Amino acid sequence: MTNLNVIEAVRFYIMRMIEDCGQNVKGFVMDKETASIVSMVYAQSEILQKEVFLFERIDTIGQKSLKHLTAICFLRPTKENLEALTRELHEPKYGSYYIYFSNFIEYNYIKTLSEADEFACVQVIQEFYADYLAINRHLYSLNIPMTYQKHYEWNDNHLRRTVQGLISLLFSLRKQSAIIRYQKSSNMARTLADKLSTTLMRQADFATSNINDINQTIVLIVDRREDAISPLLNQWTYQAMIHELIGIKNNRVNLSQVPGIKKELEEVIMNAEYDEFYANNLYSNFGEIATNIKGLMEHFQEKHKSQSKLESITDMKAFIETYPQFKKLSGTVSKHVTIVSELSRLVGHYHLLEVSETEQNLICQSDHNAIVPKIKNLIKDDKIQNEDILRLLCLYALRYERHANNELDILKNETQKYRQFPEKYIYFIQALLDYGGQKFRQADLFKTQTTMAITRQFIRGLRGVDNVYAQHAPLIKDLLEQLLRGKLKDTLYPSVISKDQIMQNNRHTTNQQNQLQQQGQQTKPSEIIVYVIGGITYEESFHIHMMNEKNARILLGGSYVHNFSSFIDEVITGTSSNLFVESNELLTAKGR
Amino acid sequence: MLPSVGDVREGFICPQCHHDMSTMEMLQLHFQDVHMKQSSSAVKGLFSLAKQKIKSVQDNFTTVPNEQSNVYTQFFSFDQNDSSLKQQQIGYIRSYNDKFKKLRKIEHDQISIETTRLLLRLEKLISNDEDVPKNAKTKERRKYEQEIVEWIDDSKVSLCPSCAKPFSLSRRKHHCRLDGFVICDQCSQFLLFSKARYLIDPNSSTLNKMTANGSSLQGSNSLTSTVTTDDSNLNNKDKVNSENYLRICLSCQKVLQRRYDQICFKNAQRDEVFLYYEKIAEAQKELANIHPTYSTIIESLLSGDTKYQIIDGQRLYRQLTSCYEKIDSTSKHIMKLADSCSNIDEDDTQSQFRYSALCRNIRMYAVHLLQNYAISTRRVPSEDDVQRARDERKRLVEERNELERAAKAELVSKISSTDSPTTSKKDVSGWRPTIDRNLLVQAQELNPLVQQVYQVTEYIRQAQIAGRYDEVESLKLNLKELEQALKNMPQQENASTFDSYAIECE
Repeated sequence: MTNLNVIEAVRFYIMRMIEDCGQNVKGFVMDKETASIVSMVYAQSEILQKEVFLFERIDTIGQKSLKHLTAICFLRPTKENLEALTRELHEPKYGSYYIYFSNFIEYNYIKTLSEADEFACVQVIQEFYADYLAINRHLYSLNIPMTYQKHYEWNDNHLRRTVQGLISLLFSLRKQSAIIRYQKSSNMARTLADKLSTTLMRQADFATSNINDINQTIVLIVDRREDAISPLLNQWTYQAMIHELIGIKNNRVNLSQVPGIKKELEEVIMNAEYDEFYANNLYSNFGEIATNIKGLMEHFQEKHKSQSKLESITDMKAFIETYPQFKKLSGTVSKHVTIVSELSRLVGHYHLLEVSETEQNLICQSDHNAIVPKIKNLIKDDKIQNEDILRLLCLYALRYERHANNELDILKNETQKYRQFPEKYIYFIQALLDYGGQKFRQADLFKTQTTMAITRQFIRGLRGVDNVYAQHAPLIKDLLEQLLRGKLKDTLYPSVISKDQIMQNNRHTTNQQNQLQQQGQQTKPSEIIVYVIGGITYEESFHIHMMNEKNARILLGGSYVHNFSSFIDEVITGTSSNLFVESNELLTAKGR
Repeated sequence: MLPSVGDVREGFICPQCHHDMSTMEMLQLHFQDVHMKQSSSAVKGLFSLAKQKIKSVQDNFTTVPNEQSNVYTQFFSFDQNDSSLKQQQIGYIRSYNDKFKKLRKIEHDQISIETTRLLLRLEKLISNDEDVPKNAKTKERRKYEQEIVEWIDDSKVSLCPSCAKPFSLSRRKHHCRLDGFVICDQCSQFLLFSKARYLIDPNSSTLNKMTANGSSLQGSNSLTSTVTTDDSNLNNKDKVNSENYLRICLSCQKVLQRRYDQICFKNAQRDEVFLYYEKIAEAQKELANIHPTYSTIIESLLSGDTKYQIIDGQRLYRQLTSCYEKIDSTSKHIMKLADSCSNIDEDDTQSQFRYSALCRNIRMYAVHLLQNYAISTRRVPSEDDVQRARDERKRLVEERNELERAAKAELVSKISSTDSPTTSKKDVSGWRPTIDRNLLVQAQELNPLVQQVYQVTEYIRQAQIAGRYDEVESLKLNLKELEQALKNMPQQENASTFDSYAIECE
């Protein structure tokens, strides 16, 4: 029994598009978003082998017609795309068109398109629900970097996009119904859950529902504001680290800032589906990855009967450069060596190990008096980046928000005394407290409230921690554990059961489920799909991956995959109009 | 536009050592000489070894005891009967094909009624029959035209319906010859008879070539011309006058233009690229046909079988090579087209970019194709190689016979049964069930099916030694069927003993 695989789900669709088109010369027409959706799961070179010779954007099709080419149009059903497509059909440049929309399309658009198709060149018009970015097998994103609008409410476009994205995810996995549970304290989560539920009912009518289907999917909708910690931390697993220190965007890593970078490595592609080394090491920690790379290099060295011993990563880099043949072998090895050596450079240069240890101790232990001097020392250390000081201040602000001896102001002053701290950063601390402070939170983010949690922490303290840099486990893991054990409180995470659902759809089973739920005997889910409004982190992805390794069936996704810097931007835009507004207090109070 | 994973290198690059070989032939030679000779594990390449290495390093790190490997299983439920859970399937699909086509048909039907009506009139108007008056200026012609299309009474029309300007002495009234409505001269469109004929019968018209060319040049594919009475356009008008034309109104022009565009669309000339590409596709098809046979021949030659001769291999090899060359040279030609971008306006950089991307991608496709074949194609072995292989096989067969004889002798002595008159010379044309007696004895208690399986596996072994691969294939098929039949039987134990036996035989 394997977990559902979102990469596979999207690949299935794309494969089908190409197959349906038959054996002829093809062109792939996409929009900006579908282009990223496709490129996340397929390398261009692989599609090329299926006689797809052109890749273009719907808005930039050239003038010259190529009537003997067949167009595979894979588009999001947006107004702009439909207009562009209508124009294209009036003056077709391809001989025939296979049109696939990534989501549901309104009926009157079908009519408009049929009227535009004067030359009768549309062969197929279908909905293929690949409307999300599949990042890893269990990880998806909707690529919305800024979800929050003023007062932490939805913007209509984003809400629609999110609902569409989630429905397409369900449909692409052949799920036509789901129990939707949402974080009650978040207005956005509730709105999304309601909208998702009603839209799902309306759209799933075409799928033949299987009355005997006892498989039940749970969709869990959570708001990032409930756990603002994960995006603030330095990371130590390979994928998370790359994203935190360099940045991954649609599987691409921009290395142009790396000192002395070779031209061909300025932008590299990191796709676990095509890069075995990466796939094997996505979740390896920094120590492991360095060893693995070293092992790989040593093997090659042996192969080339070289005597010099590789001791450090610098040696390895030199080794690579002296072996032109080695370079040719593939971009893969040199790519990873470059990245790992850059990571290790950054870690060394900015003392990230020290910073990270402090971060972890700050949030996972509760010795306030011990941690403050540590932070103060780091503030004075000019090797430490401003950015990392900001992480510490933010964590401190959240951790000891209501602490009697809160020294945040002292720390802030200290910071401004010793370093050039950007105005934006000071503002961010305030914004963050508004975003994810205790006012908003309902969960015990720092595990300090229940005696159980305290005891557990105490025991762990006695045993000693295995890895000081990975003490923190994200809240979402906790929530999922609770959900699986039936301990996630309905009062905090209620589920949407719409009246329609009971009326229309298999009245019998739903009632049964209700009864079971009332008796506290929740039906076991066949899988859980998590959506985090406001984005997820690779740290969370790592933890879900580990759960899935132990036979859990969980898919994780969110509006975006954040690192610290993208998170700063999102929080600041989300709160900018909120802060210093009088009604602020009132609104967030309502949100609770 | 889309990224490709890793660095895409063009040309004939050896997938093993990434040396750039300048030609197909070189790559083939290189691959065979350098990589084929290495032991099979080495052939897998540095990379797979590297992967193993990585794996072994990793194993060191995953030593954390996996005490609770099933820790979450209990929390998930699933219907075991639901096949979609066992293997992920393609997600839901909603098709609008039928709805779309229905709507399109309604739309097209409406237009085609209109079009047909106009075309029927047009056909009569431009008829070549002798009794049809040709000269546009004559009264007879006008009378003829009015017989086909009734002209509306122009006395009630005071404004041109298309430009809304009042008619006067200088803006005279004209009739559209296709629907009889009144228009002014400026709003009139002029349809040449030759073009009208093309509309009615696109295949026989001499215009065919012209329009095909015209359609590839943007903007020049207008069906009609607007001829004004201005003096400056006198030349133009003279030209038009030299050929008969019809005056039509804009709405009729629109309908006819649409039909004209459709004809052009259907008859669009193939771009050079596609002609070349077709050649590649052809060669590729041929390759796909020949290649498996060739591989079998080489395999059989190298195993010392006498079914094929070297000459067979050489003949096919020549065919293969010519296919490779065809693909290579054609794709190179296409590559050249990428830079020339004929037929494209110089300003239209987008189209140029698109066109050259198309050509380059085809070349890349071809190179990849050739690479794959180059690596899987072995050269025809030399006489010596074949002879050596044959000697070897002979030796093996003899060795085997020897062993068999010895085994049988032993068997005879062991089982002291009188009725085992084994012929020492093997009958080459058929395989015989020569199985270890003990097994056979054991097998006799077994199901007849199982016995059959034992026998077939033994045949396969013999056939393999004798190098008769096609027979091995068919026997293997037999075995599979038997296996299937066995599986369907309730005696699972028997089947399992057979399984282990079959594995030994392999």
